[in-house]
Amino acid sequence: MIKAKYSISTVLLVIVFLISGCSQGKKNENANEQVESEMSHEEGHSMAEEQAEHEHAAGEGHHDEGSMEMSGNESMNWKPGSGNDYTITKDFHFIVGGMESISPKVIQNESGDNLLQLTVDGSSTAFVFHQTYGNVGMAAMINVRQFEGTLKLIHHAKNANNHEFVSIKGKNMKLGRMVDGNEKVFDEGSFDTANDWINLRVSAAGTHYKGYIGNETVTHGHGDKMPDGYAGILLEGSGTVLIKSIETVALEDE
Amino acid sequence: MEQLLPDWAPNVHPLIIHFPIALWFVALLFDLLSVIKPDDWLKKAAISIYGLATMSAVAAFFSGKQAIDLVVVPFQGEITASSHSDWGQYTIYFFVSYAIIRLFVFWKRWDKKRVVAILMLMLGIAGAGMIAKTADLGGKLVYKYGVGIKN
Repeated sequence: MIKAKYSISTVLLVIVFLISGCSQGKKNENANEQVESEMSHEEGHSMAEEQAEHEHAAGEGHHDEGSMEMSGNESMNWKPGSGNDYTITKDFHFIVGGMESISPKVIQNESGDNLLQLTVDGSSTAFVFHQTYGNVGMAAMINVRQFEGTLKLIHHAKNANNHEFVSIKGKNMKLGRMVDGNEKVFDEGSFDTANDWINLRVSAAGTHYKGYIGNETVTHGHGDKMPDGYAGILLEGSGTVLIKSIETVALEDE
Repeated sequence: MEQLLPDWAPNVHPLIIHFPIALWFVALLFDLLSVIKPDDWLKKAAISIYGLATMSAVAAFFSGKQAIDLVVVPFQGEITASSHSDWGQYTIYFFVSYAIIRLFVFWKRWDKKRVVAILMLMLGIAGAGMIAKTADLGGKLVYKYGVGIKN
């Protein structure tokens, strides 16, 4: 009887030691990750701050002709370059249509920010960054007030018929993918914003896909993971689209 | 429902999630004791607490599904958010299945056999591992990426 009591006490003590050991291990791991965490906090600040920083960065200038800012963790902030010799094909390539269907031009707003102005002629046009991505987050500051049609942020793109997207048309958002020309919609939603400029964001993390306007999740859907592909913008419609910046972040697996 | 939330809480999820974690581990402790020293009271207590843990896990799962679209997740945290969501789903499937099996085994009195009792304990330990993984990812979302505390 006494032996049994001692055995139970021993087992309980071992469990307590194991639990406290695990928790101590986690603490050490957390201490090691503190620097990383601080960096992440800097990276993970609110979209409003991020937006303000983007505008500030434009004032300070990325290099004028080049227009991309890369960081170590595969994130990239693109802003339209200035200078007469700036060509869109320096940063992007077309997978549908070409320069003639969007007439790209860099203009400046009152604050002196460079804006990429696209005058879309009604045909379908898609331009993508040269780099390919797997899991990806993408955010674009756009103004579509004078555009009639559909604007898509595309990713995992191979061509016009094979890509994943978040699209906006008016105040409606769709999240889905095109496979061999067949559209599959994961989720649909509507949003309301009084601003001319909207921060359209999409994330593809594993089998989870989300579409945001600023910080608000508008669509959230699920689908199989697709092979790596390009990320960029697809336009179907006519009118003028202004683009202030595009951010892409390669999302790392756990 | 939202009026009942304290000011600091972004949604109800953080108020619920600790119940399944704590209850499952307490159930596991009772289960372990019932294997070491077979006792009907200990076994009944373990099964009851596993049941409560499962019910609170279901509540945590559904509140999490709602919460994920209400909080701001930075791009760097999206993979963690997805994994947390996936592990939450695996855990809930496991917990519900385990609770059903456990009740059935108890009803049939199969857990009187030591080998069955040990097998059930092992499965309980696996469940603890699953909820620990889910909780770890949830903690990472909050403390590494600031999800739910920066709205």
